[in-house]
Amino acid sequence: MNIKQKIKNDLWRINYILPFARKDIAGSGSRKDLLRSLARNFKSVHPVVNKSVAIATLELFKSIEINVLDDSTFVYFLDASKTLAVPGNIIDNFSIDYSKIIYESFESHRSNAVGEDQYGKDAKIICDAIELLRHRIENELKKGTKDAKRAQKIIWFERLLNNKAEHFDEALQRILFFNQILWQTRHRLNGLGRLDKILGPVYQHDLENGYLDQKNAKTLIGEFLTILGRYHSYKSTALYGDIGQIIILGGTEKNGSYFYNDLTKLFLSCQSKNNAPDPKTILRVSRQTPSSLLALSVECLRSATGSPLFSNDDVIIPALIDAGIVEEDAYNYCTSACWEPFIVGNSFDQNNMQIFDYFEGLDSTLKQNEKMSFQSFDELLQAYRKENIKNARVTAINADEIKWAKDPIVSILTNDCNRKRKDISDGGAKYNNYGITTVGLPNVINSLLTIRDLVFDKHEYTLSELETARLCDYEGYEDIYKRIVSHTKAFGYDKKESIQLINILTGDVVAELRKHSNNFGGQLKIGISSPDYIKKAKSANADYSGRKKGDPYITHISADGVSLTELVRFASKLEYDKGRCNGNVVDFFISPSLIEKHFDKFELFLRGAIDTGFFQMQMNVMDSNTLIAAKKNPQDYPGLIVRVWGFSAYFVELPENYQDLLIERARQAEKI
Amino acid sequence: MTEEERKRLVRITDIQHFCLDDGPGIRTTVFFKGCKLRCPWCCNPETQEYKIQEYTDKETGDTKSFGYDITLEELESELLNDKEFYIAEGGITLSGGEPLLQIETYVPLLESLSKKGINISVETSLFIDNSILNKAINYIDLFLIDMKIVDYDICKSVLRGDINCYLNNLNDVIRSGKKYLIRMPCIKDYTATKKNISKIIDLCKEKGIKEIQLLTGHSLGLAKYLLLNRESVNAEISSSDMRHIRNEFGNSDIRAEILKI
Repeated sequence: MNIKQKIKNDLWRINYILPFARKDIAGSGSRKDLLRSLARNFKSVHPVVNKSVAIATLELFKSIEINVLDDSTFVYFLDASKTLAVPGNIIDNFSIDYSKIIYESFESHRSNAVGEDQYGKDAKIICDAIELLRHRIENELKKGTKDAKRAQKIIWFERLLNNKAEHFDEALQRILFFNQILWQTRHRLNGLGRLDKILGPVYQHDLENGYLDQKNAKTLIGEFLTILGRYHSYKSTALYGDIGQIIILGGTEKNGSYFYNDLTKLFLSCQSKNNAPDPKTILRVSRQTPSSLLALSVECLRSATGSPLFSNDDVIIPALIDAGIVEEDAYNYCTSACWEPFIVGNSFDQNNMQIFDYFEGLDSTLKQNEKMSFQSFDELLQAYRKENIKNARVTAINADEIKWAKDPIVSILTNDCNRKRKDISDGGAKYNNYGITTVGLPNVINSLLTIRDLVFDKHEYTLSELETARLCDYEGYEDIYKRIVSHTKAFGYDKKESIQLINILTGDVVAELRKHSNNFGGQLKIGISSPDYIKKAKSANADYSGRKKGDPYITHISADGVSLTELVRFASKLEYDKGRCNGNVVDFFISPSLIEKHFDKFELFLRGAIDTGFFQMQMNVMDSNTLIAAKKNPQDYPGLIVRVWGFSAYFVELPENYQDLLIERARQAEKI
Repeated sequence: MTEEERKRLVRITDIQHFCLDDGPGIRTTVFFKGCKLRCPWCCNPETQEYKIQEYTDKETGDTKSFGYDITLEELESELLNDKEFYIAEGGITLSGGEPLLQIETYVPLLESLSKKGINISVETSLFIDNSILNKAINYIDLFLIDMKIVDYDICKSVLRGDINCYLNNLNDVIRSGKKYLIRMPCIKDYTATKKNISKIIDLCKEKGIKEIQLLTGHSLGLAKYLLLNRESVNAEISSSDMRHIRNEFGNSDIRAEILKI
């Protein structure tokens, strides 16, 4: 077990600080910055320490400061100075099923959960904690002068746990309350789920009874998004902006029709006016998605908040079913904080468990050349495949070393846990899979095909000559470097040879991973997208794709110099079955002027891309000049938002290496 | 290669996907090699000569070439790759060079694409034999036609084209009932002269043309002139000049739209 895992698992009295400190060291990764950030956070965040999560939560809710905002329609606050310190890793990167606290009373879940067994005892304490928090808020609300807003809030909080929600605004308040509880108890990357679908019935009911009109609903949604955007820094995890409050809109129904409603449109249009990186939106699309909705999503993209990401149901749902998800759950999929499909309400799935680095295996295989001296491309490829499979085995074993913290709150609201009397962290949920994200595949594909061409087909160099140059980071070997850079790139291009190779390699890795079920009997899955294409590459040697030592790997499914239609075609030919469904995102830059000039054609592009069959797709609508100017004069661009890996962030808050990569990618996109 | 196979080869310089400026919808554009005209501002100078031209890549020092031969089968399969994107009248655009000069060779391709319902447009100078044009009319859904220099002598001396041939072909396109779009490349000192503009306006009036696209002159082709070791002219034009030209057309009730690449 590595030291990092040991700290996360066992040093629970102090490791609570890590989620708060992580974002500060993302750029430099230096020990000095880490220590400074740790010191600062130790000073400002105080833990309630207890071996029992339930008791710690109760103590926490007794002690946090209640802050009833009067400027908002809703109550929503975090006490950023307090958190939990409990044994094990608190699950994150998921959404709870908010419909359970809107259309059913929380009390009904409580009564199913409490009992004389340990599960039931923990449930009782946690429910008492939630009741205590509710009560404290109610009391605080009753203290002030009662204007209409406050009176409304008091009613909401009186009804909060014992009644179903009656109205749209009351439903929003409940989502906020439970969302607040999750953040306060150190759950990170808390998604929101299919809010158009979840809120549809209560919205419709209000509309029909004249309690609400579209305009009011829009105002409420606007406020809801704004208030969730507070505590930006506290909520950020790996980088500033990595918050993960994802809203899923639209989606294919089991009968093949496409679901959307007024709220789909309202959320999209509020997203485009929200002007903040988070919350963020995924639009589930299919061949049936109406043009009006696609047009609205282009409008949203034009507002340059990085949303929505498009998730193609026509491709994803079959892939999920193939991976073992029950049909009705597959049709109802949401995602983890970035893009990894996640079954809300039924799932413990932790979808960003480990990072698998395809280049690691190639690097070590190539180094074997000295001894092995590969005689053919096939020999090299077979050796590399073996190495990959070996690494996949290690990844699977490592994934099982993590210890989870008990999670009575989430358990109560997850199907099956109450019935099985089993905490979600012990495998109480229906699905208990682990997701592995992967990096380096594009670089590997470009490298392998370059080697094949230059060494084995054209005999321009021997592999040893190339290796000598590569391991010197091409210093003193500028000619070789030039030759490699000028070589046709393969990944991202609609060419049989690269696509076949990718499918073989991803197939190898996933097959090995799936041999090792996790401690809960769950399976492992992979995807060609990961947050770690910069971090993982920092210590990686140069490769044959033109990347020098330490430079970032190619981002997700992207390529410089390829046309967008070809990139989409390429992505649509990759295999996503057999567990290769853990997020596969086509990622590109497009200039604002292009969307401005060809708004309608961009909608056609989306339509054609859906038909062609991408898995997921996101983009930055941004030109390089703006980014360069913002880097130079950050004070002039405080609100500039960019898409990073699966989230949006203020450009000026990003570490320099992230800024530089975005600038370079924008530049490359403008060359096409 | 047999004679039969050679007959099924066309010479092109490039195939570009996701083109948004070459007709309706999303298009794939093929750039054919060879043109009879020598417009000094041509933004694709590498397409003028039919013969394959070598050049030295400035970065790598490698010898590369402008132009390659491709079989009709390969070309068709490349053009069909993006067919999912050819919605709302999207499709393919034949460009160049003068794409219609090679039409004899690729009639089977046009036949096949037409049968598959692919929208075909062509960017043509119309300085071609009338018989070629009439062959094209059978297959082309949209003609994108340049109006460059109308004066007989200037046209001859600057472009090396016979304006009467152009006018005759223009009549045929209009008479054919096929869709067409007239475009004027606006190049300072060449096409954007007072006299030429007024002649183009007169011509539009005479032919009943009510709409024209004004293409803003640009210098994006400059790098290619350098690779070809050729002199280039400054094709750039100011926005105020462009607006002025638009107004001139407007005054004659011709709707002019300024396009900028």
